Amino acid sequence: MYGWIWRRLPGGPATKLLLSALILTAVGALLWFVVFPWAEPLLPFDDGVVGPTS
Amino acid sequence: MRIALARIIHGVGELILTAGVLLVLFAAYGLYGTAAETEAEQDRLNTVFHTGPLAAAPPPARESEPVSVLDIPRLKKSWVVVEGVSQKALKKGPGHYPETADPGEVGNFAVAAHRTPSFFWDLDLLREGDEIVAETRSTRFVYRVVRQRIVTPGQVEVIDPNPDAPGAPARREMLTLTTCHPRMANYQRLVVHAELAESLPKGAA
Repeated sequence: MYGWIWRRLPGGPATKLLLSALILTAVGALLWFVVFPWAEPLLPFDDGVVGPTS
Repeated sequence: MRIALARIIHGVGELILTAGVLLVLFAAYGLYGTAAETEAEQDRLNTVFHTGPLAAAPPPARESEPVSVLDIPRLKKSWVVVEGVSQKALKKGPGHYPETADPGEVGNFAVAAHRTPSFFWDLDLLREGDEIVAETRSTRFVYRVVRQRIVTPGQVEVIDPNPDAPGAPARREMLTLTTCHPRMANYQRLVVHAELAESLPKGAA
C-alpha cells in the first residue's frame, strides 16, 4: 500500500519525501479535527459515571 | 504463487501497523485533544459562576450550568462543576449527579469526571484526610477524604445519600467523586468519599 503510493508520487526522492510529509500532515489533521471528535462520544474509554449511563 | 502470497502478507502487515498507529493517535486525542476546548469552557463557566446574580437560595441549576467550584489542593486542581453527568456536560467540567445533594447539604454531593489530565487523572493520589473544597457563591465547604475504593460501573450505591449504609437515612454531609479506573479503560470506577469538616461563610472572612 505504502510502496504503491511511493511509486505513484512524482519527482525524485526529495520531492517524494516532501509530498509524503504533506500527505501525512493532511491525513493527521483530518483525523484529529474531524474524525476523532466525531468518534469520541461513540467510544467513551474514560467514562467516569456510575449507574446506567445514557 | 509465492510472490502473490508475500504481497498479501506484506499488505496485511501494513494494515495492522496502520491500525496500531491510528489507535495510539486516538488515545492521545482522548487525553490531550479535548484539553483546549475544556479550558475555554471552564474559563467561560468561571465567569458565569462568579458574576451571576447572588440569590439567597439559588434555584436548582439546569443541565450543563455551573453548580460550584471544586478545589483539590493536593492535586493543585480547581474546576467549575456543572449540573448533569451526560457526555455533553462532562465535556465542560466535572458533573454533579442530578439526584444527589448540593454542596454542604446532609446527603451525598456526588460528582463525576473523566480520567483525563484535565480532570481526575491523579485522583488515586488522594489520601485520607486530604482536603476537597466545594465552593458555592456564599460558602466554602471543606471536606476531608475518608475513603477511596474501586467498584464496578453498576454500583450506584456509592452515590447513595448514605454511601456507608445505602438505603438508610442520610445523617452526614458527604462528598463523593467518581471517575473511571484503570486509566484509559472503562470497566471499573475509582470512587473517593469525603466528609464535611467545616463550612466557612465567604463574607465573614
